[in-house]
Amino acid sequence: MGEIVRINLNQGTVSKEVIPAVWQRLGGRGLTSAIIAAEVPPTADALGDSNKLVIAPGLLTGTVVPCSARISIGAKSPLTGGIKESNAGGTVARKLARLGIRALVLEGQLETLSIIFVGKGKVEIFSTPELEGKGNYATVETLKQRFGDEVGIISIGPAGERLYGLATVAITSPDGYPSRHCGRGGMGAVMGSKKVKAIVIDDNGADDVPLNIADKETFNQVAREWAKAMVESKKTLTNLGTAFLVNVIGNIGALPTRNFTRGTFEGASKINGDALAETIKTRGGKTGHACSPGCVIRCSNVFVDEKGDYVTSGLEYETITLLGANLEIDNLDVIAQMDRLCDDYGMDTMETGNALGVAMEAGLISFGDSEGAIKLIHEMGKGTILGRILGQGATITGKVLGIKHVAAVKGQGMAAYDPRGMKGNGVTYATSPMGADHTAGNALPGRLGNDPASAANQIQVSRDLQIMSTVVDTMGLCLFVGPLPPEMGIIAQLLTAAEGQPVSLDDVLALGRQVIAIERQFNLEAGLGKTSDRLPEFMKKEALSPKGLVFDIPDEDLDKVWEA
Amino acid sequence: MIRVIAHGIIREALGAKEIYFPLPDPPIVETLIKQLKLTGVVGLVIVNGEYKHNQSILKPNDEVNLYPILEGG
Repeated sequence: MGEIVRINLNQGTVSKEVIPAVWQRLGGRGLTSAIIAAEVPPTADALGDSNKLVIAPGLLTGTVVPCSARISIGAKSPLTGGIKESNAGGTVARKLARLGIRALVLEGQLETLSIIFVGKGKVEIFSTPELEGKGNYATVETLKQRFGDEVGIISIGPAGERLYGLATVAITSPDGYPSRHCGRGGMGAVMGSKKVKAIVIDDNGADDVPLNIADKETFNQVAREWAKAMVESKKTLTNLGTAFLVNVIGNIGALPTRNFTRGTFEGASKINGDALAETIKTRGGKTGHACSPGCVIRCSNVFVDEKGDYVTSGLEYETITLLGANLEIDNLDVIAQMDRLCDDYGMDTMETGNALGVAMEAGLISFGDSEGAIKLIHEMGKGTILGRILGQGATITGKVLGIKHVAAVKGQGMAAYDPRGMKGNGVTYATSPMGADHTAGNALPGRLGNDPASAANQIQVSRDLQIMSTVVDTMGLCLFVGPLPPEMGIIAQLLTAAEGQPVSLDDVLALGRQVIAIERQFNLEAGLGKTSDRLPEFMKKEALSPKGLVFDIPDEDLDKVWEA
Repeated sequence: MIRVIAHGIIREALGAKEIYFPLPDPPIVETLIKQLKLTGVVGLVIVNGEYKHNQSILKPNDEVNLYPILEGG
């Protein structure tokens, strides 16, 4: 069941096709990568006519499985030059699944800025020049007035229209805000290159279930038990959100601080999970907030100002660390304001934090300069010359400003874990087809028995986590369900019930390997070979203060990650 | 004595944010967790800023941070 819906923007035509048998077990990242690899020339211009933007709910999206409403967006990335998938929560994935759409493929490019409406049995394109330059919040408000409050909206801000390498694609949350973002790899720029400002998804009247389920009783039972277990085991995430990690990662000396020159931040106690939860609680905001329907972990939050007015939602660890500690800004109100601006302009908070860190190192503004940082974000949003440079991300910013100290792999800024203190993440950053992306295989301390500061065993830890994370992304599950062997076992049980024949743990892991192999082959043909699977030179030589750690896993070991 | 700092849901289980506790006998992480009745709750132990496993040895005046199983990012 389920269809691929293709929208040819050059011709204004729509076609539908049944998903091929070979892709039946793919959804989310697996499906976006399979389609990109099969249909986009690896050497294509990422912002050109032949690139495609693929939007796919996960294989399990739309079922009763908890935390299964992730939406994947894939394309050839203008930031990394390789294949890319970025996913988010929000309401859109479930709506697409209910419409029976396994993938929405945007081909070609429009001539004028437009929106696309997708409803039951209907796809329409409307020219909307009046939306040019509008932020995501104003765009969503305008579209809700036109199409109603119940629609789900995928949109880009000015950053996407200007083709920034750090442009995101925004997804509306259950509250109707464009606060969930497919943030990484410049997917917003690809959408902007196609002159698609927004896609409105209306599932009114739709009740499709995209996944055939042979044994519904068992499927539902496994899902129910999993949900119950997660409610109990993920309480820290529910209470404190991912900001809980500020203390943990700081404690082991891997918290990116001052443009990745230190691993601990003096102001950490002002921006950690406790401080965030307390601030939100005192002001009448919300913790334990679900970012998507069916989420039982509820790690998100709603951050409000001193008057109790909404500022942003989903203020989380990566944003807090890269716009906070990495810039030596220890004020949650400032970080929340920057997060809101990034969401509105349609910019990745992580890449923005990396780029601003480089700009601070270059002396453009000082570390800790909150007003200066906000001013630079506005320059990015408004498209000044300097803003356009920063908008291309940390690597380009470093090249233009003559700064070599740039924490990036394949042109993409690192997530909020310094690989000198978390070496497994260094392996993931280097060898993932996605570039320096923690979600590709987050080797958190303790995972698979991982000692983060030790070089021992990190190749295997990273490889295993990359494979299992790919499975999670392909199912449309939130990564926080846990990309670990027990969860892979549960996925095997679910697929067994769905398919009516045994699906083993090995089958599930093989799926992850298969997707990564497809992605790596695309990258290889795009020119991203082994020499791209490297961390920046300074991380092998400059000791990370205060623990004096360097990244000491040899390049030849990195080359072995995918040989096994 | 050792200083034990609890994080996240470990605080609820321990009933305190921070306690001072006698060095367990034998002085290893596993014994400490058993004596604190936190078996199955603790997912990560960091002692003086370094990752430790169940059999790691504890010393007087150690600062022991106890975390639940980590997720997120």
